Order: sequence, then structure tokens, then C-alpha cells
Amino acid sequence: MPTIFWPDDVRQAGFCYGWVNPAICVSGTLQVGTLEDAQEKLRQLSHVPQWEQLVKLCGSEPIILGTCEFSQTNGSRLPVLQLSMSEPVDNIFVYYYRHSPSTLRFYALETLGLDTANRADVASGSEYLKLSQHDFTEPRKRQVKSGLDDTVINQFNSALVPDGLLQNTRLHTRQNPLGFAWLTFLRLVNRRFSSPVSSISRLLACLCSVPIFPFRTSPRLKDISATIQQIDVRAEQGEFFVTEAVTVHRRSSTHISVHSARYTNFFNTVWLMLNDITIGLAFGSFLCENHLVLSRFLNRTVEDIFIIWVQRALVWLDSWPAGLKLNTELSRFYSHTFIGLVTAWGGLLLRFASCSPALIYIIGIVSCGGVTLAISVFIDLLAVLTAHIYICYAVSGAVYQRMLKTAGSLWNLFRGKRYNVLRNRTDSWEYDIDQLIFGTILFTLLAFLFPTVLAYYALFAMMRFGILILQACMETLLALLNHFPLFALMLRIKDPWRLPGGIYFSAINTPGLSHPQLVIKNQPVPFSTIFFQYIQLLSRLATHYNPLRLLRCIFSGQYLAAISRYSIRYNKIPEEHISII
Amino acid sequence: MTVLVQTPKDWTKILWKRQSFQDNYIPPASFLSSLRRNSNFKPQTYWPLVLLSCAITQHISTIFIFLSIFVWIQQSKLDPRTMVWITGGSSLVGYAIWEVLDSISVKTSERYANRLKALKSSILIFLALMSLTPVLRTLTAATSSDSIWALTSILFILNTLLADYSALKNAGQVQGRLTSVLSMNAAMSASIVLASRLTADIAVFALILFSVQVFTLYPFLRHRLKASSTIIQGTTTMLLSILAVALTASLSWTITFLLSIGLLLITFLAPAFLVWAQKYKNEIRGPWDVAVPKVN
Repeated sequence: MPTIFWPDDVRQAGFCYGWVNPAICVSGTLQVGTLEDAQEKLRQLSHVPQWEQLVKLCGSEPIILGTCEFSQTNGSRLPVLQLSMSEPVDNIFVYYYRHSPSTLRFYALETLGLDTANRADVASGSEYLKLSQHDFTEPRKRQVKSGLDDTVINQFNSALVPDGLLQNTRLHTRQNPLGFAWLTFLRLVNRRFSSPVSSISRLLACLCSVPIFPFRTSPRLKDISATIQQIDVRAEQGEFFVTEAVTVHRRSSTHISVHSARYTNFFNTVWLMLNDITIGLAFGSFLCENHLVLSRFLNRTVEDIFIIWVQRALVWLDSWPAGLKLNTELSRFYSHTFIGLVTAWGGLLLRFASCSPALIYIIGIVSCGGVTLAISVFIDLLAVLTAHIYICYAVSGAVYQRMLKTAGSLWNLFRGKRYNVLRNRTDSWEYDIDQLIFGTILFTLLAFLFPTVLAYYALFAMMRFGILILQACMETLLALLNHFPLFALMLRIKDPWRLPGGIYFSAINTPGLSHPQLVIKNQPVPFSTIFFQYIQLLSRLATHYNPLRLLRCIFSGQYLAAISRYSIRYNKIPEEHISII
Repeated sequence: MTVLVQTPKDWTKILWKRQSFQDNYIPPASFLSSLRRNSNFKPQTYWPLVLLSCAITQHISTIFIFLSIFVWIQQSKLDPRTMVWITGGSSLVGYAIWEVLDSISVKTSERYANRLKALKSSILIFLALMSLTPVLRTLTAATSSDSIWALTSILFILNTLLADYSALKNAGQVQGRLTSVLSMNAAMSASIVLASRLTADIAVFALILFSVQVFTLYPFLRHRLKASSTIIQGTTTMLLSILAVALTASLSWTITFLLSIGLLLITFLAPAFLVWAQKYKNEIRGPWDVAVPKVN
């Protein structure tokens, strides 16, 4: 018994039209008298420009399939079909829902691609698309002759288009007036401000990528300062806004899934930015009102923790800490140097302490551009205030790491082995007597000086660790604020039809029929796809700030770095120089 | 065990053939017949053992010579400069002995290279020690004297235990096993720890130079001397022990007494004890042991 896909909301008898390849899919019914009238009507539509797109999407032109009647006796929606090409037989009906394209609800066989890198129109030049064609782990779609495949899904999605064309109503005025007003406003803004905004954004992005040193491989400005990175993000958002606002209005040539993805992304960005600015205004007003109190608090805290406490800890280490007798000369040298450094930096900060109220006021004003800007200014402020701890940590860490390396090579010396740089392995080697004797003397020196170096390194490593944790929290907060998928989440809760992730058949029991009837429904996108950016960001953060890895870095003397800011930022517009890792 | 009908002559020691005997049957006559007792045992006699134990005696004597020199320098009974000269002189003597041994066994061309290398090494070590002396002096200056004595004794005991007392197989081999390097390290650490008790830089330099010579250079010489005749060994041992006893005599009678008793015990009594204990050696081997490959 052949299967016929029937729209769920059609209850009127008449001439039904639809597609025959690859499966019999009825699109709607025409209430006309004769077959010739119906065919005439369909032929008239072939001159409409959207007809071309329709035919291309659905594989062939819709044709008149036959007549249908609804039996009034049992009131069911089961039509009695008389197809023109076949005998009247018992058909199996599978129902589907017809949605107007302007509501952006549609069926899809695969999950909606919200990821920018995978978008077909953007990624056409990217290497990923070329690579994905050779991906043989994906299950190959078998070519079905008369079953459910992409063409039939397209036919489902465009079922109301001929209907609308026949009734000569413009489809895109059917949306709600609020949305229409918003889109018109956007179009106006876009036309007026698109080129200045776009050029300012591009200028800002270029400024942020200026390298510090004249070499090509030197770090760029946006790598060292969080504020400049945030300005870069804003500039990119501005450019994104300008380029994408045009496309919010759907052209009928774009596939509805692509359009829906772009629409969702665009409004997500807009909503995030508005949220950002709102919270930023609140935060900024708080800062501006209390700038005197906050500045006094800041001054006192900085002086107490970063200057006085560090000096006290250094003096404590110099005078037999916890009964440990460190080497007097070395310990004195270390503590004098570091105390001098800390005092010098403290003096410098004290000179600028008088303008800290003004600083907080300026931060309050800056945060009107978004609370993310305020947070990034705080991150930079923290880095500047603890610059002396950073220098002390770098120096003591370098000495500690050098000591560990020397100990390693001395161990090799005693075993009679040598590290072969050419082959990157350890070979046995015969040393001279003087090398052995010198190695012995050095080993004794190292063994007795090691506790002192370790004590000073441990102090500064702990401090650096604490500051890093603080910075990590702020950067996580920043990543949250910059990339939260609010819009998609709201859509998922409010209207899952707009985020399709596959179809499923559900059986509905109608009274009066022996067997349940199948309806094709939409399966909404899983949460992991909505949060895909998040999962990537969180996995990167977890890998970088893994406590075991950090402990290993501390013990081996490696430099504790904050995560590179570029890797916790998700780019809306994929650029060429970002590697796909 | 049951008495079986068939004679034991049909029995073969094979388990993969089903025989009429039980699996654990052994003819009573051949029970444990392949047990070997002390098969690798070479009985050792007294005097060769005494000669071998001379190495230990020499080592202990050198340690005590060093300790008495340290006490003399600390009590300012010995001028450090004199000590430096003595060290230089004795190392020259030792080098002359080494050259004599070299002329017997090593080719002429290699001897030239060895001589240059030795000159380079000595100049290098001399200058390196001279520059590192101020650092070495204050290395453990803060530690109290009691911990220093304890640390020193532990390190010297470690040195004695881990030292390489074997004879040298081939000439010119410098690199020893890890344990011998560790024992050298322990001795050097002990001497540096002791040097922190001294006050003058020149004294520290003299002591550490002497310890380098005694604990690192002298063992190589001792190795080569071992391979030579017994008379030289015996004379060296005698000289060194007499020197040690004489030097400690000026410090304290108890130590001298203990040292001489200890040396006599190690040299004469310990080999006797070993020889006497050999009759209790009861090593059982058999075909059930792990096979020992014979490598030619």
C-alpha cells in the first residue's frame, strides 16, 4: 500500500496537488471545478519568480495529483483520494504539519547548524569543508527511491508557498507587527550607519592587532591587555552587526535552515550586547556614586596586601623561617633585592594613589559601554598592581628552574650518561676526571643552596597562583558574558519548532479507526548544540587551569601563565588566520 | 606410596607419558641425587684475604689522616699554606707513580695525550676551587656544630660503605659505577661541611684541595696499585696506617687506641673469621634452579 504524506490541516475537498518524486506528498487542495481549471491555475504560477526557487528546492514542479473527498460520516480527517495516475487503493497516510516560512518553523533531518564555522555559506572557502567531504566516518545516506529524504523535507517546508502564491498575499507581512517594526528600524539604521560603523570597527580591529615590537612574531597589543581585547570583541561585534543585519530579511534563495541559523545568531548577539550595556550602566552608576569610598578601600587593600604583607613575608624568610636555617648569604641577598623591588614599586603606587578616585570614576563611565569592558579594565588593573610580584616570581622561578636543570644534568653525569642533543636521547659517555670532580663540587654546592632557593620560589609561586586564580575567575565571567546563547535557549523553551534537530513519527490514536495514525513531528535541538560554544570554552579553561597541571608547573619551575585570551573567545566571523584547533 | 608391580627400571623421569607409576614416584635410591652442595665454592685461604682487605685498611686510614689534618688546621697548629705545599708535593709524587705504571702498560702516543689532559685537569680544578672557596666557606655556616659532626660522620660512613674496593681490570678506566661516584660525592660533601667550621679562606682552600686529592685522586691510584705486586700493597698499607695512628696520637689517646685496634681487626681478624665461617657455607643447587649461562 503506497504511503501518502498528507498535510494535517487540510480538511476541504477538492483537487489535490503536490509532488510525486521521490514520494507522494500532497501540498494542498484547490477548490475549483474541473481538472483543466486546476492545471491552468498551477501553470499561471510558473511565471512568479519564487516558482524557480521552489522547483529547485523540491526537485520538480507540483502537479495535480487527483481529487480528494472527506467522508462526512465519521468526521475523520481521513481523505478518500482518487489519484489520477493510479487506481483507487487503500493508502497509508502519514500526516505532517505545514508552517508558513515567515514563522521560521521548519523540519530538518540534521541538527541545525548554529556553529559559524560549519555554516555552508560562510565556510565554503574554508579548509574544514574540504576536509569534511573526505570524512568517511559519517554514515552515508543511501539514495532512497521513494522514501523520506531531503527533497521530501523541502517539500514539507515549502508546502504553504504555492498556497500563498495562489492567494496572492505577500508572505513576509504575516509576521507580528513588533518584529516588523524592529526589522524596519534595523534596516534604516543599517542604511544610515552601516559604512561609518563598519569602517570604525575595522580601524579598531587593526589598531588592536598592532604588534608591540617591530618583529612579526611579537605579541600583539590585544594579547597583553584585556581591555584592548574586549574593544576588539566589540569592534568585531559591530562589524558582524553591520554585515548580518542585511540578511535578517530573508531572500527566498537562501535555504531556511541557513537563514534561521543566521537569524538566531544575529539576534543573540544583539540581545547579549543590550544586556551587557544595561548591566554596565547599573554597575557604572554604582561605581561613580561611591568612587571616593571605593578608592580609599582600594588604596588600603593594595598597600596592606601587596606591599606590606610581601615585605613582612620576605623578612620572615630571612630570619630562620619555622626554624629552618637557610644559607645566610644567599638568603640575605634574595631578601634585600626583593624588598628593595617591592618598596620601589610601593613608592610608585603611592604616588598615584591620589588619583585613584578619578580612576574609579573613569572606570564607572567606561562601564557604560558594557560591564565586560569594566571587568576587562579590572583585569588589567590587577595585572598592573601586581607587576612587582610578577617580576619577583619570574626571577626566582628562573633561578629555581635553572637549579633543577643543573641537578638533572649532574645526575646524568654521575650515572655516566650524557644527553645527546642531535638524537634527543641519553647516551653513555665517559667523562674525564676533572669533569667528575667539578661535578661533585657543584653537586655539593647545589644541594646546600637548594633549600634557600626553594623557600623563596615557593613564596612567590604561591602568590602568583593566588593572583592567577583571581584572574581566571574574572576571565571566566567575561567569557560567560560575551558568549551566552540566550536567544537559542529562549527559543528552545518557547518554540522548539524553530530549532529542529531531526524528525520522529508519533502515533496518534483516533477513535473509530483500527490502527493509530502516524504524524511527523519535529525533534528539537539538544542542549549540547545550543551550548556548543560553551562546552568548547569550558573544556579549554578546564584544560588550562587543571589543578594537577598547575601543581606540576609549580614543582618543575615552569612559568604559570594565564590562558591566552584569544583561545577563550569565540569568533562570530571566522577569519583566515585562525587555525582550526 | 604404593608398591607397584613393575620394576623401577621401567621408570623414566617424564611426565608427558602415562606410566604405570604415580606422578610423584621417585625410586628411593635416586631421591635428591642431583642435589649439589656448594658447587661454585672456591675455598679461600687466609693470606690472600688479608691482602684484599688491605684496601679497606688504606681507605679508613686516609679518612683518619684527613680528620686529623682538619683538627690541626682548625686549632691553627698547621699553617694552611704549608698544607697546600704538602698537597702539591704529594700529588706530584702520586702522579710520578702513575706515570711509572703508565710506562709499563700504555703506548707512548697515548701517554702524551694523558699527560696533557692531566695538566689541564689539575690547573682547572686548582683555579675552580680557588674561585669557589668563599662560597664554600659560608655554605653551612649557620648550622650548629653538633649537626655538623653528625652529618660528617654519616657521610664518611656512607663513603666507606659505598667505596669501590675491587681491583682494576684494565688500565685507564676512569668512570666507575654509580656507587663509587656516590661515595666520592659523600666524601666531598663531608669535607665541605667540615670546612665551614674554619674561619680563613686559605684554610678552607687548603682543606678542600687536600680532600679532593685524598678522596678522588687517590682511589684511582689505589686501583692501579692493586693490580701490581703484593709487596707494594703491603708497604703502602703499613705506611698509611702508621701515619694515621701517629697523626691521631697527637689529638687524643682514645682515638689512637680505637683506631689501631680497628685497623688490626679489619686487617687480620676479619679474614680469619671469614675463613672460619666458610665451613658453615651450605649452598644447595640443583637442576630445579634457574640456569646459569656459561659465557666464554
